[in-house]
Amino acid sequence: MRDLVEEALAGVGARVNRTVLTALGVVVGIAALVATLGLAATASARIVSHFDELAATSVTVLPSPDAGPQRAENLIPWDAAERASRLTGVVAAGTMSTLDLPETPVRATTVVDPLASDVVRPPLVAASPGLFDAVQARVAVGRAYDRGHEARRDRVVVLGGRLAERLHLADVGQSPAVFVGDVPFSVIGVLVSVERSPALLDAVIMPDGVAHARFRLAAPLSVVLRTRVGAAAVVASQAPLALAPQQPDALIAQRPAEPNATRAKVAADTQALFLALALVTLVIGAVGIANTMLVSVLQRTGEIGLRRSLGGTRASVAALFMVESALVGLLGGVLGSSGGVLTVVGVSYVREWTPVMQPWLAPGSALLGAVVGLLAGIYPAWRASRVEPIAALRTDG
Amino acid sequence: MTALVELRGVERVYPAVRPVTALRPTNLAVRSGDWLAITGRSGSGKSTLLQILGLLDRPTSGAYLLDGADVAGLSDRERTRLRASRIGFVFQAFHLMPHRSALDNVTVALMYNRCPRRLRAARAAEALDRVGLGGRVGAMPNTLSGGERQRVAVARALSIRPDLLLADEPTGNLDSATAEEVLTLFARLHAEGQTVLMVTHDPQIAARAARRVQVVDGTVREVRPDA
Repeated sequence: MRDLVEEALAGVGARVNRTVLTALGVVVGIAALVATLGLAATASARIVSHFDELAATSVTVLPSPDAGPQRAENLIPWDAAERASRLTGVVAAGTMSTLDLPETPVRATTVVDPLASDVVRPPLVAASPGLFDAVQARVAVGRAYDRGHEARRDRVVVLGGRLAERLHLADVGQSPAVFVGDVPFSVIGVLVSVERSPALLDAVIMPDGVAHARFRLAAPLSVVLRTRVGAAAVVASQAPLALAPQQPDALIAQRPAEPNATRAKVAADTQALFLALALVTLVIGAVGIANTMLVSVLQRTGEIGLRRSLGGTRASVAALFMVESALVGLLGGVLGSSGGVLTVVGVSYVREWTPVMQPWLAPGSALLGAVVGLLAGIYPAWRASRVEPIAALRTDG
Repeated sequence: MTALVELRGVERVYPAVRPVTALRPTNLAVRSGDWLAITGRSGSGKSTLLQILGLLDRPTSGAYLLDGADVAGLSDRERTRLRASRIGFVFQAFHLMPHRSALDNVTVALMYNRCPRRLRAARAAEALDRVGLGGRVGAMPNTLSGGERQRVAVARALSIRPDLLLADEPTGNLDSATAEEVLTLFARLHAEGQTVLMVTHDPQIAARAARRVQVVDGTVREVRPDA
């Protein structure tokens, strides 16, 4: 076996230029394969790491569905945000309750105009002032309300950016009003982005106190907590007890749901296309190797005849050409794999991503090159084994 | 003393619509240490004879005794093993591998001979020394003269210490001066007791051998030394 590999290496090494050119198809195919899989892994790792960061720092406390409707009503105290803030590891906390008033219109003017386009039915959300920090909301214009507004039960709201756009209320400087049902509210701020709860961009957000007074909100429906990295698990285990000491089992602490599956599907489709291209290139590469090996068999009939006369069997001659072909494929695989890895690293560098690859990808694809070479060598090797020694030895060479 | 090589009624017919008899029933005995020249025109059947003697072809009928054992009916694999261990070949076209040194070209024969790896280099060097190329073990074939190349080929054949050295037109690609170089080498090997069978179309070259047979239309005839 060692003799066989050494002989094959000598055969391949004797024609370096031709070997490299022959391997080119496999180089391109393997490089495309590694780059596609590597970039896919890198991109999905980005999504996952973003998700992980959220998962590691987000906790939402809700009434447990098992607790029954009656008990769920008054489970979370009004000072839940304050209580939760005292837990070690909590960075920000706020209550958030979506009001159950589905058909309440919100409009920017008092005039009831059936044709008006500025009547919308957005979600109505009651929140403690701490929520804006807890969901990492950014206020574009104006300001968020504070504990003073809450205590005074001021009729102020903060609008999500998309809702403000629909109501044509971009300029908060003029203290515009919106009517929630028939109750007027002053718009004091507009949110431009909400890192952890993008749905708020479409919502009307008002202080808990007002919601309690005007819309009969009995108690907050959830508490959103932002924690230090890694503290989420501990905070999640402690929060129900801190919020409802008399019946902690009636509350559950949740982590964020799985990231958007649609995005992953789109990525998979693109990936499939590139993988198909890579495989086609590999097949072309294999045909290239087979072609060159076949020419090599014809050129080396003298050598084949000599090996047979020296005591080489048909099988050993076939094996020699198979191994040579596999070595060419392996070379292509190694070069292609390196090229693919460099591509992934290069793209990641430019896009400021962290390159992520499965550990088996580089060695595995190099080996795949060898397998491609081996398969490509089958027919030429068979042809070589059919060479009749005497006829071969009578030729010059 | 039994003959090293003995053909008893060996015949070779190539199957075709009209079968071609390349070799008529032939009897031939070669003793160990003989230097035999086989002459004949092209197409006379001398190549067929050499192929059968070299176990590269099988007789259609008859017995081929190598050292007393009939090898005519052996399988492909068994004949291949015998080639690797007992028969050394030298060809008109040398058949050296162009990208390998003289030493490596000889070592290849030892590889098929299943010589242990650690002994190969020494035995190859010894064989090259025996043909007068001890100082050129590292030379590449394209830096060697024609005569030197053929001597490397002879060294390759000798390295396995064959019972039988078969040479097919060994001087066919050489000018007369370098041909003489190779013939002198053969004469020395013969003197050392090596059995040599040499095919040639050139009567003058054949005359250097100790014994001559002539093949005419598939029939082998002994040629008397004085003839």
